[in-house]
Amino acid sequence: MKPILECYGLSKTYGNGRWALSNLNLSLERGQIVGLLGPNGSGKTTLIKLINDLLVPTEGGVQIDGNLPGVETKKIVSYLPERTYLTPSWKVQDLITYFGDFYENFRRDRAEEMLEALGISLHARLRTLSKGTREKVQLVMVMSRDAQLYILDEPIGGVDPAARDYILNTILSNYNENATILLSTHLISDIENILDRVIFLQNGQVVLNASVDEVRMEQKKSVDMLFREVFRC
Amino acid sequence: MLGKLMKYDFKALSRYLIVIHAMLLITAALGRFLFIGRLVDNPNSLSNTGTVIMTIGIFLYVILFMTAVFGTLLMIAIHFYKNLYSDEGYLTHTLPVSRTQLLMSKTISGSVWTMIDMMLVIMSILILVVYKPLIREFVVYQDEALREMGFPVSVGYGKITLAILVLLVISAVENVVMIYMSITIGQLFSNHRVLGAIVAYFSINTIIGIVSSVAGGAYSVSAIMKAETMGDAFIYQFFVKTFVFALVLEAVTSVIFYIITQLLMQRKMNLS
Repeated sequence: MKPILECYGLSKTYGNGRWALSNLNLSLERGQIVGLLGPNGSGKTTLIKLINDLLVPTEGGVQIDGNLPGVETKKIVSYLPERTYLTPSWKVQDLITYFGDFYENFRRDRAEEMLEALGISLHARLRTLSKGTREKVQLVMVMSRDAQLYILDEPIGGVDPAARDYILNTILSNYNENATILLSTHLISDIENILDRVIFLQNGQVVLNASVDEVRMEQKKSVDMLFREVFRC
Repeated sequence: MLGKLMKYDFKALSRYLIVIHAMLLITAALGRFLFIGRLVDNPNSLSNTGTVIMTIGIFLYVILFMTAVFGTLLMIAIHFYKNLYSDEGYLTHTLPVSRTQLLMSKTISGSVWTMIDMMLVIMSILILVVYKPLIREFVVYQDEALREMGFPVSVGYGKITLAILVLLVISAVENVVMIYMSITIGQLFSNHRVLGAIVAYFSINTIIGIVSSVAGGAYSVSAIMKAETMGDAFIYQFFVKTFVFALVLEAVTSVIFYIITQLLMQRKMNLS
């Protein structure tokens, strides 16, 4: 089976002389939760946008399940951006219909169940919801797809700790064993326990790609401690 | 998938456009029955207050008319920009559809709304001014009117209407595709992308204006040079040829704009 994600010589510059990513090589196997960690400006979001076909690489390339980013990869990748992409005039219900219309692997019942658990009405207009609630709605949509690769950019950043626990549980209970989750965040200690693997990015390059067990056994440190050490200012 | 995309594009565009155009038609109908109809029956029937109200009514109609025409193009531009290049683009561009389908759906929905807009605007004028005596006059003098405009009577109004419809369709598509290309060119800049789009739109408009006048001028001169006689028949033939030439020119530029937009979307995608 092909790796779910493969980056080869991946480089991106925005034309200002600075390389957001430079010659990044990475291969991700199926069935794991991977933390994509790094300080601000290390290239996390650029990498994520390249995987999702929102940017064109300057050099090198990305393959998802052996395909270049495009229609086929978008069917199997479920992506949560750090932005809110919701149309304010829509109701939560409209968004469910939209996802159902376009994604064959969208599970409507699962979405409705999660929204109910979070106390979000299907009839609420997205405009009237708080920022945190909108983020929850977006995460629910993304996790209600039976995708092969979930890419979550700062999924718990703006959400309160109680909802954060629910969301992490949701992530754990909803993804099937062959799916991979790539998750970028600053809140390492909150998610450390669910990660199988961590990737540290610095200046657009991978500086560490190791399983969490390796980090704990060999370095005798938590990921959080190691992060603070590697990226000490 | 194209059908589903179009469903959502039409929905988004129709949200405000239906209201604007409904208001335009209602104002025209009210003006027709409250003022123009009465004036036609009895020119002295309006009091002073009536005249003031009618002036306000005309003013309101003109404003709605402009809002409908420019509002339609503006809504089409805003929807394209927001849906593809703002935060909403993060969802639109990660749907399992191709960029070809995204652009096609936007082009069809935008062009259709532009055509609807043109037709409703014309309809509002007709509602306002067409009344029975005018129709009676028209029926009597219809052949003469054709001759006055330089058409042979044999052409008939059917063909002229058809030609105007074709012109409407092609201009609608050209206008919409030009807006889309300008917005997409604006995306090539790293900052001030909306400003870039506006500058692109006016620059392209200017260039197109110059190119079509030069091409049109050259075409007319060559046609006149080739002509043997300069009678009415020649003038009509010349008019038809120039019209067809302009149509072809518009169609060709539309296709070129469309292809450029598509290539830029595929190869230069950089969502900020």
